[in-house]
Amino acid sequence: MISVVLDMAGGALLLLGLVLLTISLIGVLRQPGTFGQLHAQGLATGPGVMAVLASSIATENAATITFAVLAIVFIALTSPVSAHAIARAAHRRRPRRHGAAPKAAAPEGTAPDGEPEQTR
Amino acid sequence: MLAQVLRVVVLTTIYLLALTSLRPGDVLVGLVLSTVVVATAARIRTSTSDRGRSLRRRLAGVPGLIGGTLVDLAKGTWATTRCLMGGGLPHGGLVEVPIPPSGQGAAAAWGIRVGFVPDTVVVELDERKGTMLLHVLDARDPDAVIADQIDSYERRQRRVFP
Amino acid sequence: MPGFVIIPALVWATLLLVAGGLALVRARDVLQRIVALDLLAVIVIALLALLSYLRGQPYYLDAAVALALLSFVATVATARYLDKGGPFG
Repeated sequence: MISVVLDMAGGALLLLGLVLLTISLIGVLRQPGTFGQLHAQGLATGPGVMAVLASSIATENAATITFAVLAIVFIALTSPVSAHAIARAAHRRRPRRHGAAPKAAAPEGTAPDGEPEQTR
Repeated sequence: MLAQVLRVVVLTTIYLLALTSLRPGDVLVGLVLSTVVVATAARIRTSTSDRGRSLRRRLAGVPGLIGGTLVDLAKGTWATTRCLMGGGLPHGGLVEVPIPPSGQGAAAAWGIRVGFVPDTVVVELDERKGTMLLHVLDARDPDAVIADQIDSYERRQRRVFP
Repeated sequence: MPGFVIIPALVWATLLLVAGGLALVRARDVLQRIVALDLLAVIVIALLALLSYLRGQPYYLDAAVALALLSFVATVATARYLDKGGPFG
């Protein structure tokens, strides 16, 4: 009885996680700007992979669940930091486009209104 | 004293989780290792201020912090999904949120709690000036964004990381 | 978890990996390439977790944690390099 319930909960979490990963990938493919891509990527690195890892409850294996919990905690602590590092680099590479924090030297690789050109 | 014991227990738990074993020898080694680490840290950092006073209250706020962050996560996930599956984010923009100037721990808690939710991306965080620059899905009404963030701070974080 | 759930999930995640490679190729900026690489690492973590459920071996998740650590360090170091010209600058 409990096993069936756990199987269904695990399957639902797995489906949710894979759907979130798919939506996130579509978002990364469709969004033109780095910030939009970061919002989409946050969908995968936050709830998406955590749902996939949380579906380990259906395996009913203590070691697997322990590792999955460890991975969830680790990812929850590190994914905001890496997203912040990317966002800060994106902000400082083209400070003029969003208006905040104007710097004296204009960034060279930036088109007047559109996306930055390929710089490296 | 309670804080020290708590640290030892947390470190031992991480050690045992990494080993995935509960054998008595491993527990013993973990306890010894984490006691050494905590004692060394206490020796190095002498200025342990009045943290033990409110430790119980802070611990009591931890479930609210985690649960509230999960609620925020669900809401933010839904908003981001709708936005991405709809017409993209034409109104995305940067909003500067004033945060109460406090220690580095509180600033780190702000950054992780807010950056964890997909509909807000932390761009800059300055705990001395007390500002946090966010990229949000809908920046047409900055005051509403600021009010939301302050409200979730007061309801979830202030008891644990003031 | 039964195999008839995990095998389609594995196929799905592998297709996602291919699409992630497409996102990596289509990236216009070096920062967008970092975003795509981070996303690829997350998909591989999910794939390793699924493999661990299928085989009943918890040690694949060990590899997943190590991969998360490596991808975190790589992302932060690269972003800081692009930001300031040095990983510790």
